[in-house]
Amino acid sequence: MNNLDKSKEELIIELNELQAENKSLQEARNKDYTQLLLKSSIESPIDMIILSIDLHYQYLFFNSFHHRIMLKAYGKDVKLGMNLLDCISNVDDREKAKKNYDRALNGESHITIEEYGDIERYYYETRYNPILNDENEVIGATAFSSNVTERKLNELLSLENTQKITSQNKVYLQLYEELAQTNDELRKVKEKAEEGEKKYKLLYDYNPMPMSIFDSESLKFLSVNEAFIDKYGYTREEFLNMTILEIRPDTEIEKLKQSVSLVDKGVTNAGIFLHKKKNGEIIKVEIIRHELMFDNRIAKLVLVNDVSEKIKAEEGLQKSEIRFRNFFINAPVGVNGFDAEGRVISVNSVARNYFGVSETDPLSAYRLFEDPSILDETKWKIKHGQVATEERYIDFKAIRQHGMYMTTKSDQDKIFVKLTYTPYGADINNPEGFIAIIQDITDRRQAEEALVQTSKLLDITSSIAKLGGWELDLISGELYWSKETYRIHEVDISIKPSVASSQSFYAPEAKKQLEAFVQNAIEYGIPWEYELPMSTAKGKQIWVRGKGLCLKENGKVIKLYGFFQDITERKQAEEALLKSKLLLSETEKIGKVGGWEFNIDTMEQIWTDEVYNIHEVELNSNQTVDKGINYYTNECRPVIEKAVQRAIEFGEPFDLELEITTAKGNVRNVHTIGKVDLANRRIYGFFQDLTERKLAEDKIKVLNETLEQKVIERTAQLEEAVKELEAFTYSVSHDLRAPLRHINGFVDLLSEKFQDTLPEKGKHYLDTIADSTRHMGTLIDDLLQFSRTGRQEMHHSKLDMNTLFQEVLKRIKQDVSNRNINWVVGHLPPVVGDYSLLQLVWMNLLSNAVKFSSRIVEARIEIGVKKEENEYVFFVRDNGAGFDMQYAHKLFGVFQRLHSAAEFEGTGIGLANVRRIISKHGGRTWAEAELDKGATFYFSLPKMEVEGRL
Amino acid sequence: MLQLRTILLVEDNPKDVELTLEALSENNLANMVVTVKDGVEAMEYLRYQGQFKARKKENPAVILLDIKMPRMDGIEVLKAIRADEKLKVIPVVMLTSSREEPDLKRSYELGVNAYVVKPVNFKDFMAAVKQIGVFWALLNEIPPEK
Repeated sequence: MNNLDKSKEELIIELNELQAENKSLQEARNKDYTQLLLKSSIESPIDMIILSIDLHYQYLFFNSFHHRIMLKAYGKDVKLGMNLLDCISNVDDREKAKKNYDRALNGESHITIEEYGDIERYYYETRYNPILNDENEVIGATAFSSNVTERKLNELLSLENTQKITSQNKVYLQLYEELAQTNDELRKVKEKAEEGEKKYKLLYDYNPMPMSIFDSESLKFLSVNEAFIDKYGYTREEFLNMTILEIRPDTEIEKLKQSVSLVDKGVTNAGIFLHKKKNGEIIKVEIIRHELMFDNRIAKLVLVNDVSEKIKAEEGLQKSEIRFRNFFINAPVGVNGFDAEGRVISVNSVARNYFGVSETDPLSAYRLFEDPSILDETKWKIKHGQVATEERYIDFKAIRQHGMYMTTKSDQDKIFVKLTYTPYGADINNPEGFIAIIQDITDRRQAEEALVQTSKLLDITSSIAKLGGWELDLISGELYWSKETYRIHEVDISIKPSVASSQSFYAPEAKKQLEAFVQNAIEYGIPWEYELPMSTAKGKQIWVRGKGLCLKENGKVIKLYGFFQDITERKQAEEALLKSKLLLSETEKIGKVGGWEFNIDTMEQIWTDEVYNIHEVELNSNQTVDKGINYYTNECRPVIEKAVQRAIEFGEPFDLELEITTAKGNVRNVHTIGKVDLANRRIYGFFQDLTERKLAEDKIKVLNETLEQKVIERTAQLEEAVKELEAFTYSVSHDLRAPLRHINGFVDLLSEKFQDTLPEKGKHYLDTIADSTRHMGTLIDDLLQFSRTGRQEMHHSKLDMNTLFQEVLKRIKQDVSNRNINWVVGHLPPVVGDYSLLQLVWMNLLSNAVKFSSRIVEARIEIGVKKEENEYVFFVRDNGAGFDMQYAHKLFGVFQRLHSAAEFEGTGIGLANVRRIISKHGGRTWAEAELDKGATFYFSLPKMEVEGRL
Repeated sequence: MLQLRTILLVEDNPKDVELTLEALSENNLANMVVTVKDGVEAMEYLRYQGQFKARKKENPAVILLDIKMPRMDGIEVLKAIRADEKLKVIPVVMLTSSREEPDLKRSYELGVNAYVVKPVNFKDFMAAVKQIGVFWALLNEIPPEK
């Protein structure tokens, strides 16, 4: 099969379209009024005889009037093909006629007024014209003849009367009455003539076809009818001043002139012309004309038939036919047409190949249907709007041999085809014939058959679905199981199952159920379905699903069949689901959280168990959305209503904490969250009981408030304490210093003013007093400094540690200028901290180092820094007295000293102050030492903070 | 001849008065010193009230003012002096044992002219008082009284 991209259905549709188009075009063609009109003018009530004969006087045409006259005049029933002269029984008449026709047949147009008739005689005015072919050869003659008897009689009578008046004056009066009588008759004749004119008017003036009469010589319009006026848009007056040239486009003038120059022989189809209307529109018209006498002039009666539409229709038809032909011939599928009796009338090349016929072979010998009932069925289907198709094997070899389609059962030389029939012809209920599309679907069919025949594949398929089948023949009592059914039962395939044995796999109760099903099925034909647990032949516990159906014959159930499925896995999953659902509901209970959902359109609502619990209503009791909203307290109801409304209208989610009154009248705080799924038209969310949380929150709130109160109180107490401490420090500073100053002052005055009178011992006492007071002064000052450090506000800034250090070192060096100290100072990194406080640190540490190395001849004091990951570790190392590390913990305490005053002076406040300052900078302080081998004091400052501020 | 004006020493502690006078006497300034024992007396002196009603109408050259005193303390006296049109030009030197910052800060805010922490060491104290006395009593010119 080559190009079968276009499906067969598409081809049928196309074919049907073509047919419909064809039909409408044919109808359009039938609307050809020309013949009709011609006929009507020929059968005109003018009583005009029209006839034409060939060179042998045989009738080519005659109108009914002629037929009538011939019958009346000569008693002859004329027929086409008869010899006109033979039909004229009167010898004289025959002679006259022959003479006149001969003249016409010799190419002469002439008019005669002669008397004819055998039984009745009348005068006829007859115009004879020759009929010319394209080569201007005479091929016949036409006669237009009117009965002019009355006119002739009138003339004759007038003549007779004149004679009578002139020659026989006497009898004039006698004849007067006769004359009057004759005049009377004359009037009657006139009236008759008028009647004829009326009739003429009816035919001409009111004829729906445009008609005009023009002068053959001047080409001037002599008369136009209403339809003509309508058609061209000019008024009658305008027309009567125009020539026929004026309604033609310039291009047509020459053709027209040629055409009118020809002598018309009878009714002439002048051919197709282009005419121009007053509004300039060009129309295509077919001109029918014949010559006549009009007002004693030779004129032409013209009948105009607008064929613009007709030509279009014909062109369309032509195109459609071409398309149809193309489709028919070139369709990639076999197409053949056949008549209503099933005789093949046309085939396209593909179909021809199928049939194996050559283009010259006659087709009518072939029939499409071997069985006429198929044809009837096809017709019936089409009539009822169904697509008539059939699929069957066709043995084309047989067709070639027998000239008939034959269904075949042999595999040899057969193809499987799909035949699609579509009728053609105007009347679909009574088609002229059919077109059949023949599609070779052998490949598809073979694939299908292969699939059906491959039972293995089917088995695999059913085992994947774990779907087994069974069938119970109630007549033979035989039970059939499919392989999968065996497999599910874990029964060996060699064992034949029976109804009883198959039910033995179930527990007694299930067994009863099954028996009832089978009973009902057999008796009443009721199908059944079940899901039951069973144990297999090998004792495995499984769940199975079964379905049973009944097959009836003559109202009696003869067979039960159905399928059988292992649904253990699904059941397990369901159980798991159930468990997880239980778990969920437990979780809900614990969390006091439930879920809800409702459908926006139906307002159907789903609550999880906990939502029911929170509302204190019975589980699964009917709770509508409205009812749900009514649980909210009066203050909260408008809030939730608005939120739900906005959710529905705008898809806005909500998250609200509100109060409800439960079914049991308890007020509960609830947290409801709603989300909108507009795609699925639902709102869902969760619902939480906040009552307990709210209670806890309230408790915390109270606790927090009391805590705050406590903090305020404590702070006040602390502030009081701080104030007291400040007052104390102030007192120490002021009140302790004053007496000390006095002692000092007076001792000084004493030793100065009474220097001469004081014995040596007295002087020594005074020195001791002065020493003690000085020491006490230092103690007080250090203590004040320490207390200030604690209270002092820190002024952090970025510091150059080197400058800061050098200032301190300078002061220290001044104090110990008499000593020989080896200072080793490393480069110190910049830090962030309080300038004066950090100076105090260095001051204390350097003082200590100086102090405790005072007994060393070659004192060495090293200052440096270790850069750790997060901090700088500064150190001051001396080679002085050192200390025992077991007392190191005491080092940084207030008033703690590891050396006696006799060894080294000191107040025991310096290091306490250092620790306090470094702590306030977020650092640490420690020391390493060994007795008599020196000590190292460390302090750290955080690096991160330092860098952050640089 | 330079007209010597008085030095008003406001000090409650007689020991401090004695020591201060000792120090000033070294420069022969002791004679010029009038001593009052608290702020209330100091104000009476300055405003010619009470026992000082009859004294000569003249502001002291300098006031040496202790901070911590009974009744009216040094800070209050300083405040009153600075608020008084007639007194506000008198130089005031705070003499105090306290190194406490709030006092120092407060004093300068109130327009003290100098602030001296009395050293424990008598020699230092002598030096300080001498300098104060000489500078404020002898050298410093104050605007004429209105």
